[in-house]
Amino acid sequence: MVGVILCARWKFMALLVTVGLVLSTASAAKAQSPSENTDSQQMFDPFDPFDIWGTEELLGSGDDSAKSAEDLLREGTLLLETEHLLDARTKLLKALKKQPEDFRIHLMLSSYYLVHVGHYRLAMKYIKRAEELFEKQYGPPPYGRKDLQYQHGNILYYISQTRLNLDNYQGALDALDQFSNLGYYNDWYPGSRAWILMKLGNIKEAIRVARLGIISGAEPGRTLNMLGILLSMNDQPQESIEVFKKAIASEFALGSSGQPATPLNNVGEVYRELFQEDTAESSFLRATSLKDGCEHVLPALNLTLLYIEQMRYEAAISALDGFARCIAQYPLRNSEEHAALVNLARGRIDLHTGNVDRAIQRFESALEGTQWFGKIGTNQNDLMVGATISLAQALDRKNNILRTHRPLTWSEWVSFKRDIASNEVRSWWLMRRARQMLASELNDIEDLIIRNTDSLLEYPTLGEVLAGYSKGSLRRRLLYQRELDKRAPAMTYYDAYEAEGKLGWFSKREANAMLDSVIQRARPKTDDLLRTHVSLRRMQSLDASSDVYRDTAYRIFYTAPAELRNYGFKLPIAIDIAEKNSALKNAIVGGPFLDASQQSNVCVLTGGPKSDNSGYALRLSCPGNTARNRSVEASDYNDVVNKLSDALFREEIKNGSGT
Amino acid sequence: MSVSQHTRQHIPFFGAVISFRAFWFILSLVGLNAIVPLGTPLAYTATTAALGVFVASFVARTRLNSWGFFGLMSALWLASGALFWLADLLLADFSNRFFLNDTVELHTTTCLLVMSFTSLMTWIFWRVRFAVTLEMLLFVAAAVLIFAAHRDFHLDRPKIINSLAWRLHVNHLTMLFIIGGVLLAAAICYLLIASYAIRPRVDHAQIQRASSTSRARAWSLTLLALALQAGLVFLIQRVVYNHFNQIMLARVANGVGMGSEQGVSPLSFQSALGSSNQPAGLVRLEGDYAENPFTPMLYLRESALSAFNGREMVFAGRAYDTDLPVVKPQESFTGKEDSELQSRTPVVQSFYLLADHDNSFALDYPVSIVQLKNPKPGRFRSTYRAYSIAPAFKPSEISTLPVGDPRWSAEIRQHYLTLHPDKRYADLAAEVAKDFGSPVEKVRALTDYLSRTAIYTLTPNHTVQQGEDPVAPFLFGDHRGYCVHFAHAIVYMARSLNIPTRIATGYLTDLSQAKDGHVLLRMSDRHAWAEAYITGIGWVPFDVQPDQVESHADTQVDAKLLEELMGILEPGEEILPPESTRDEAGMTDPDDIWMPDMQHLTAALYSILAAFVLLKLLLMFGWILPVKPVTKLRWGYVSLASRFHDLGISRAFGETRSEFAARTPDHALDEITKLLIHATYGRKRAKELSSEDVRSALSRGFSSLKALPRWRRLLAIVNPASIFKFLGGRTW
Repeated sequence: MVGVILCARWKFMALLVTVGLVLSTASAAKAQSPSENTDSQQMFDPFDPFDIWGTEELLGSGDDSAKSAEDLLREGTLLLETEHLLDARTKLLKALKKQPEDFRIHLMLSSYYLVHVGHYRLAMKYIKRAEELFEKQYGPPPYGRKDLQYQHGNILYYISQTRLNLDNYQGALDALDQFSNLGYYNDWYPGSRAWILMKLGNIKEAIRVARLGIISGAEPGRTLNMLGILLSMNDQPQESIEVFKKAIASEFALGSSGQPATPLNNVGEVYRELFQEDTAESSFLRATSLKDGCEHVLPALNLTLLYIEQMRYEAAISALDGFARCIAQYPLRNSEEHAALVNLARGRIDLHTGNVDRAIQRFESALEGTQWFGKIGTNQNDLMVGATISLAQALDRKNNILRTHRPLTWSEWVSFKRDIASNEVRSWWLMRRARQMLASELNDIEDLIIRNTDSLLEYPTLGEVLAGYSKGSLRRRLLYQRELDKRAPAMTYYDAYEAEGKLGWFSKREANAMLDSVIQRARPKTDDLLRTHVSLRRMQSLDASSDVYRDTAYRIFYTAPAELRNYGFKLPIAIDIAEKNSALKNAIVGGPFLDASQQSNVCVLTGGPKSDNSGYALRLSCPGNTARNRSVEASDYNDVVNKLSDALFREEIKNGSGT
Repeated sequence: MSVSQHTRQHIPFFGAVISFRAFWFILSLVGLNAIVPLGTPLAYTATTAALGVFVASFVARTRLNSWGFFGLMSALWLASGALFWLADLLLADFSNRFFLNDTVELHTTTCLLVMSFTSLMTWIFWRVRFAVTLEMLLFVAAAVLIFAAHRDFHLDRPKIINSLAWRLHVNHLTMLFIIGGVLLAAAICYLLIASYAIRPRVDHAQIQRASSTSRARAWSLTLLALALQAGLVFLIQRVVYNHFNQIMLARVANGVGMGSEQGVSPLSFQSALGSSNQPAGLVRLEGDYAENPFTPMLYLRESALSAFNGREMVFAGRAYDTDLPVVKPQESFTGKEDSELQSRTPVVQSFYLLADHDNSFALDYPVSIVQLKNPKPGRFRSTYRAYSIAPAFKPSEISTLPVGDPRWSAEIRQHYLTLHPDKRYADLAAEVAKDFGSPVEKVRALTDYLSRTAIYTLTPNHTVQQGEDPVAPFLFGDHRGYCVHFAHAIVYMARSLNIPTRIATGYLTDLSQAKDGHVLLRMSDRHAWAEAYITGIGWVPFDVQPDQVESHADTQVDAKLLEELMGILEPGEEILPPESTRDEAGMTDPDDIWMPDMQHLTAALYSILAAFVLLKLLLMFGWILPVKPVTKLRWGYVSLASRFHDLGISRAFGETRSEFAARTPDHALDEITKLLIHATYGRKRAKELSSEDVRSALSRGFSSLKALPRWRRLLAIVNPASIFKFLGGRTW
């Protein structure tokens, strides 16, 4: 997820540039009219929110209506600098009312909405108006005076950045072209240009621009970071790691104004691509622990996705919670900004821990949410495909749960049947739609390369979608991918996909052999989700009364209990309940349990009607893993089975505040 | 009349029905695509939908039976499957795209699905007598499925309702009402056109039209149904709609109403399902409020209930709670700052209300409310700016402070300490707060207790008789309730501990969902909370935050709407003209629904109306203008024939003009018809025609018209039938 590059330095740089520009002109104006507003400063308004202790001398006090636009602009700029953001915005708006034709106020407000608020459309309105007013005042470019060139260059920079944030990459490049055609240059230029070229898919040219930038002494941290990203995209991971290391060192060297989280996150992504998960994890952890890294979703998201693949769900939740706590410190931004990505990640955690209803809600929210992608490597299509597949999977899992859920009334039975039918249709349609998007919008599944950093696909379970493609197409695509990809751990994934495809094409024997091989080769801990998913696929071909089925079921039950029910498999157990309670026994085998009383090494279910006839009690004891022991009570025999299955197959986790 | 003639005669009707069905399916497809994107270009799916209708209609005229039709459809699917299977095998290297075959297959099957559905429905339509009933059932089922979420007051589902309501400047319920009315009217009209009594029937190669009697009956029934619908809509609008709209407009949203009548409570204990995601207003903080002790929550107080009427807390009147402005949002207010209160900071807020409110509300206590210029009167109901003296204490600072205001009289103090007669409140309060010393800690213990034990639900479903305490079933029962129950319970218990308390109502919003200090208030943010008076600090909220949530009205803030509203506020278009960004990409939301400009739409409607009037005048009086007798004769004939047409007397298919003239009342057209025929075909050539003859014939015709009842003639004047006939190019 080559992402955080521009979300760090450019903000401060842009702000400093604007503040400097405004203050220099404002001070000059102030110097020219020292006695201005002397009377008004004596007035006192108890409701003036700008009466900030300790800043009176700087800001001047009194009634704003009596102040000149120049003073208000100066005060607004100072308030921005001292992080009194809402006060600053109000001052600037007051200044604008007094002097609507002053391009500097428009420029400041544009910077405010671009950098602090993230309201890009409003930022665009201000900056375009600033450009108009500038040209009205000084005529069309080119400009002979250095100060005008400098100011005009800044306007073009803002236009470019705002367009980039509005996902208008060509427009952003056009603004930079105008910048360079007019003979302007600034430290940020090579990095910005390289990023936009990368967004436009012109990697080679982007690398050339970034290298030239480094040679010509452009801002080192930012440009090196950009080059690192480009090299990783150009299939030069080792070179990119070296470049990122330099970028990190360069950023740390800047002290408190450095932005090391950006290259740290990016190098983590490269490590993850290289299947060096531990190094990747430490990079992401370090990035999230830094001030500049915690406010951005990508390090936290990368960490979460890494943990999900390792089935470390509590750690994944903790990573997202850390991001939520951090973003709460920024009063001007709201949690909506990255809600789509966060919902997707949280939804996947819910799905794998058996909280399927909540997962469905989150995936639906992710599909509805707005997300700007200008500053991050991924795009709307990646999000849509990722969320669509996850939603389809969640609906399918929901049906598997409903099929073993015991209805308590006839109306519930009818409603289950209705839900199953509607989920089935939705799931089928969404999977189909996802395949359509993967093939069309994502150019023949360009993200098939395992752990592609731009992608939001869940690689361990991707085979489920790919199996829907025609035999020849998928075989050829996987063959091509294997030729391209030299990473040994990635082959396990491609084999898993091919095996899943074969399962769907009636080549069961071949598929099972491949699945067995994948289960053997999947790396412990790091490929846990893949192994679980593939094991569950393998279970489809196993006889439920066999020892292999029992062993596989228990291995999954002890590591990822929710998945067993999610995939529609039953847990073999020994039912130690008196024969007379046949209704209860029928309910148990009608639920997610299999009567395996004849087998050894299985959990034992005991219980029955309570002695006082107030209901039923069940207790599952697992000699092999006592942590899985559960006891439940309910007034109805169907309800007690439902409660037991929920207690066993749903992990109670606090994953965010709900949707 | 032979069969072939019969068929030929009814082909236009047959074609019209087919076209109407195709149009209807395409329209449904557009709607479906807006809710569930199909992924295949609409042009393809619409074409195949229409193709399905036409093919099935054509096949229905052949001797093919139902089995044959289903066989045909199955063969189509099989052929398509086989084709793609072969393509996968044979055309592997045909393209450098791996999934070209799959992509084409996915698009094709979408189109085939659409075509199969439309052709099946059309086949049934022509071949099965009860087809329309079946279609209506499907139509109703689809509508129920799509709008099912509304049963729980989720009025913004599907999302398109939200967008449409916003674009049309109406609330969700009104939008639903409009959609419901339009769909019902469309269904009735469809029933008319598609009913067995009216539509042509296909009997193998023949097309037969329904008898004129059954058509007349169907028309009458339809008109009756439309009239009934109009009545029904009127009734629903007056009774049901208005009732729910009142709820929607926050009268009791989230169980918290708006009234401020002395001795009355605006709170509801029974159900809080009246809440919705409907936007209530926009708040803009005009300055930083970093000292907010409740960060990130913001309590916007509207009213307070401090009197106990024996059953519940009610509004005490103007003698108490003098910190409240209690003014309408359209009114200004100036109060006095309480200089005795410490740890306060001025906070300025601007309010842009999107729904009607009885009272203005603001952060803590406002000392001034002034009217703001409404930036978009069509959008915002009212706008005002409030200057509040907001709390700025640290929560730890107040823990040991005493409660009550030393300036209060004994009577006022007693007012805020009036106890509930049920001793259980005092017992529970004493038990919960026994380990705490200071009053503030005690109130905190009470709120913590409820936060731990209460279950938040919008439907507590307690059975409470008139006059009974509605809080007891919550606090001493199942602990299921919402803010209204929580606030009452805290007040009753705290008063028993000698702590002056009251209930405040208004909005509770989360600043973490704000953007640039702008908060979008929804009806689901309506809230009631308990407040205790801390000496030197003032009224402080003590709000229950239940750990257990069974159901909640909370929904995500509509970020797009918030951004759009932020764009409407100052500085306005005079400072930021839209022309500046006209050519910029990404400035409009791609999901926005296109709505025509109302001004242009109105102008277009007026133009059409004017054209209709002109045409009508031309038809009625166009004969006056020509000078040449033969032209005057022809226009005169058209004028008379069109008037008869509007009176319901028309020339039938295959009827000659002479036969028609003989049928007109008092043979009104006899003379002019003879002249016309002679002028066209007869010996008396057109040039020999005199003006006198024409004038006399016309005069005869018009005078015969006068013999008809006046009301019929008046109705004929406004009847547009002749205009349609004229525009259709049909002969008179």
